[in-house]
Amino acid sequence: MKKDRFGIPLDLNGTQFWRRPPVNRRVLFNHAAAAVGGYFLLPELGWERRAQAQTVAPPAKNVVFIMMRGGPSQIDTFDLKQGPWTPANLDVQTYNGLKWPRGLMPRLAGQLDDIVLVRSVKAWAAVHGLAQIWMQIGRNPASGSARIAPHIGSVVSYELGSKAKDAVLPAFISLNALSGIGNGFLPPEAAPFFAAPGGSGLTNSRHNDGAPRFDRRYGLLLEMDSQLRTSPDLGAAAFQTQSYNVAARKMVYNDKVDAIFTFDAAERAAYGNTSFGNSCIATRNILRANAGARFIQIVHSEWDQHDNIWAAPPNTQSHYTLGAQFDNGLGALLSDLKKDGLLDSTLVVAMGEFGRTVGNLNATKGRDHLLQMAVLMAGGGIRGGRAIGESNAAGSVTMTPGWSGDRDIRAEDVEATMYHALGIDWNKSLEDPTGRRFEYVPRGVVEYKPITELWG
Amino acid sequence: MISSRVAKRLASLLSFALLTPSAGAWDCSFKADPDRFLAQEARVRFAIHNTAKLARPTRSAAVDPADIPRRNFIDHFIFDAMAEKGVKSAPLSSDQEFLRRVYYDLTGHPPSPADIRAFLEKPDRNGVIDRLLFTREFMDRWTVWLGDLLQNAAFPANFDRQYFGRNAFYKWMLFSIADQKSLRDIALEAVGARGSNYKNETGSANFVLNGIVSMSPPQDTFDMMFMKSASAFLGLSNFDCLLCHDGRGHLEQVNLWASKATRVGAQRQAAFFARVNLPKPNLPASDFFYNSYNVGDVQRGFYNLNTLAGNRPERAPLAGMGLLEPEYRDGSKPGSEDWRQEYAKFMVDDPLFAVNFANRLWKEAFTMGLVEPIDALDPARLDPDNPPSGNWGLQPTHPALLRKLASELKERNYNLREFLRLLFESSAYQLSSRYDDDWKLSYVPLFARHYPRRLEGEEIHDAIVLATNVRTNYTLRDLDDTPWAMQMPEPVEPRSNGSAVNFMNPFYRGNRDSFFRIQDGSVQQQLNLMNDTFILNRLRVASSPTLREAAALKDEDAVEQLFLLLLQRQPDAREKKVALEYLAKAGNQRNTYFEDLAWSLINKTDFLYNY
Repeated sequence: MKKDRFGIPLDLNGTQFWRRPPVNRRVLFNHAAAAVGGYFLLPELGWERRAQAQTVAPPAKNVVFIMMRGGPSQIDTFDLKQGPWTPANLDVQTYNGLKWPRGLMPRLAGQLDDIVLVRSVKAWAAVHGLAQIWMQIGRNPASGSARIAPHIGSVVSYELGSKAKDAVLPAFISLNALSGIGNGFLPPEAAPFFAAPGGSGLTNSRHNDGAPRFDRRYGLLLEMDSQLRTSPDLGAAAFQTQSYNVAARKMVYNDKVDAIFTFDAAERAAYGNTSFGNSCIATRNILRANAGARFIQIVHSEWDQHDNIWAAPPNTQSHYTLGAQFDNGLGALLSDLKKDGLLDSTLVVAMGEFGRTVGNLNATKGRDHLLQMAVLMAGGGIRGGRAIGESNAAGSVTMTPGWSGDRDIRAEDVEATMYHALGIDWNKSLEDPTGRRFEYVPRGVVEYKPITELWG
Repeated sequence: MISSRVAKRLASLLSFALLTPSAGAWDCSFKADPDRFLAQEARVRFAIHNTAKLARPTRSAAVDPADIPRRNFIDHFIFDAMAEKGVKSAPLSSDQEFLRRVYYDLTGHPPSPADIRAFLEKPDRNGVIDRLLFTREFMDRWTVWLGDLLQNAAFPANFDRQYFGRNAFYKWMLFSIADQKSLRDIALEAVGARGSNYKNETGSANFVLNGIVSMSPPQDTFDMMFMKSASAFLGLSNFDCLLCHDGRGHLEQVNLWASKATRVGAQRQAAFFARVNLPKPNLPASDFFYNSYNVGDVQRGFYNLNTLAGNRPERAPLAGMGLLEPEYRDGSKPGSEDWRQEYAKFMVDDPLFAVNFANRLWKEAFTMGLVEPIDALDPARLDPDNPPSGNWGLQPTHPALLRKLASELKERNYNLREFLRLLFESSAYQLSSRYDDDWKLSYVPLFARHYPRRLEGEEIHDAIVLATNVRTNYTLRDLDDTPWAMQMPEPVEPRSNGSAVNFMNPFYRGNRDSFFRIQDGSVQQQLNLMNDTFILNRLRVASSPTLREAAALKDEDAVEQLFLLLLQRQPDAREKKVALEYLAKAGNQRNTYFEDLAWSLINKTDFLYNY
């Protein structure tokens, strides 16, 4: 592959992060109509954004954000394109006009009525690290504000965290990974709480030396530390530590926390017996218990299938392996949430950081990076059983955007969609530490906005 | 002047809380290390004022600043300013408070009980500082500092440095600190580096790579290379904004100098990097250098104004000119074709170079910079003899002090150790963190007490290993094994030991790329301190030789030894009483109760802070 002098493949150059959106006749007339309607009198905001801000918020209370790390092949999953590359055992079926690989994802096949496949999505960058951060902070990681940018979940936590009564868990939980993008410049309370659930309780929520000894120790600690706990002798930061200590103490030997993170082998098997499946069980339990979490991120990896995409399981890079893990976990989660009546109040978004090359496989029988991608959404009151947007025959570019934005859907639009679903004003901005405005959804040359068609 | 600064910052913090609307800024760039001091202070003080009056034990009261000994020029500036405002100073720290603080700040490791006893015997503060400056631990701790500043990570988002590149960068930094290389030479080597990023002797070439912006026109990379060097070495991260648009109409509320600076001016500086060349050698995959970069320069090339795509707005010809030649911010033009080397020289001779490091190092010692955020200096608001007009005040809390520190750094040949010696020997550094008088928010920028900082993940890890002497040797890719977190080449290590990483991660070591080291507290930190097996397995008399030795002592000695091991101080009378009463209840479970006592000390508030 030809590379430029920075070692970057030449064919990846020239992504148009900043190119102005094309103003076609339709967009022009839409704007003109809005102007006649008087929206031009509203200061500062774009016409469309202002109009969108006035729509009624959907009823979602929670967001489950599944990060399919590595970038799944859209034409072998959510934007299925059949061809000589499609193995027969994918058992491609058409439901209500939607092509779906039933052989790969049978559980989800039965739930397509609740699912929307968004097929006019395009990543800004085809570099893993960059695009993964992009989708989590909803803005360009190469822009300076990225340095202080919070994770989308931290913004949700900042907005909704304090509203949870008797919350035993923080509002932003990040599962199946133990570190990652944090709260940026937002207060520490908005930081993600990381956990990798395995079914035997939340890590460090029990004391290996036993409960009686823990109680005795904690009692001694309170006595030993009483002076520092009643006066800010060591300054504000140290004094504030007490509130974290007390919150942590509440989580230790807590029945609610135990119930959420403890599940048996039969349950693990029902969700596929994987770390992703286990995280889906914990997610269900958190939502069932109404434990305070509003934004739950689950990482599922590693979808970076450059080689042998159709290798036989248990090959960990195989599409069969990953597809089964995903289907078992998410399929069970969706059906359980629906049974519990929680699906309508929980928007589920599953996406990679970008898509993969289309058509025949590459020389190593895999697929390489491509900007075009597709996103699976469910719940949160959206109208399922359909696709939004349409790609070309190959699946490599958007043919019909299929939404009012009338252009490719971007990570920023997905971000706006999640805020919108939760009733958070996605037009809002906060003053950041240097006196500037931090916009929840960045205002650039492109006017990002929620995909309100999901609820239409 | 100071109070108006504080008022301004407070106002901005309040408006943060109240979410006041204001003119929408563009999705613009800056790079800040938000310091939440005032916010935190305000929050906590609010909480305290709103609870019942708390009983306060009597202690040595705050004192008249005139009574604090002036040990060097720093003290004149700091205590004169306090006196001028009529603000009392915290008293000087006790010997124990000083020793623990200076050990952590200089070496990242706490003193041992033997160190403490020897020091209390002969409390020679300058002697301790001198000794610590030349320890291996000092080198490790300041290599971590430099690694954070120069962003050494094996796998950043935009390119792969790989383990070989990271190790070479790490070793170059460690050797630079060990050899007393001046900060000036470090900067020259980093910005002007030539050669393979896999070789230790040219490991600094890895700094240049930080500028790589993938999937963009090369101008984006030139911009980023310039921006990274200006942020780290000049404290001018506002160039990130200026590389997209003029300051006018954007930065009036942020930075006086930047509000008058232009995009083309910033681009002319980025043009110094327009000839950088980063080829990868054409070698088989089995070769050691297969994925390396040969950092160098080409002979020709300009900064072309011809982009329509990328990470920054379009670059279009200006007044018919389609390309830019380099020009430094003071108007200097390169004297040779070797533009990057020319830039490096201009940069280290820029007066802001010394100001930047004086301020950054001040923050390492005093927890808060004289200017905050440390990477957003405002050159138009630094000169005490030439204060800005209008509503702008001078930017530093102590403008004349910062100027003097900068000239002193230069005077001391940019020698890290000699400059730190100056800071650490001052009475200002050695103030107590306790302030037994009515503490006001407006005292914060006066440095009227020492500000505690939360220990870093590495410090907590190493403190527990040192206290218990239960060690695990961590394997690192192509580096020697080590039991010390402070010897990790990057904060996401040791990758080979998940339990150590999981123990340290919640203390926010960062990854030097997409998230940075921060001082926030969290629930997860407390859960780890209470229950993580990393701690519990080490707090066993059966497995820890130091605890076994301490537990064998008579109660009173055992308690003192435990305090020295874990909190690096003797217990006060009340703590001693609580501890002795607890041990008295032990019956035949003395070791178990002794372990409980150790656990309570690790979970005490002061364990987590360098105060």
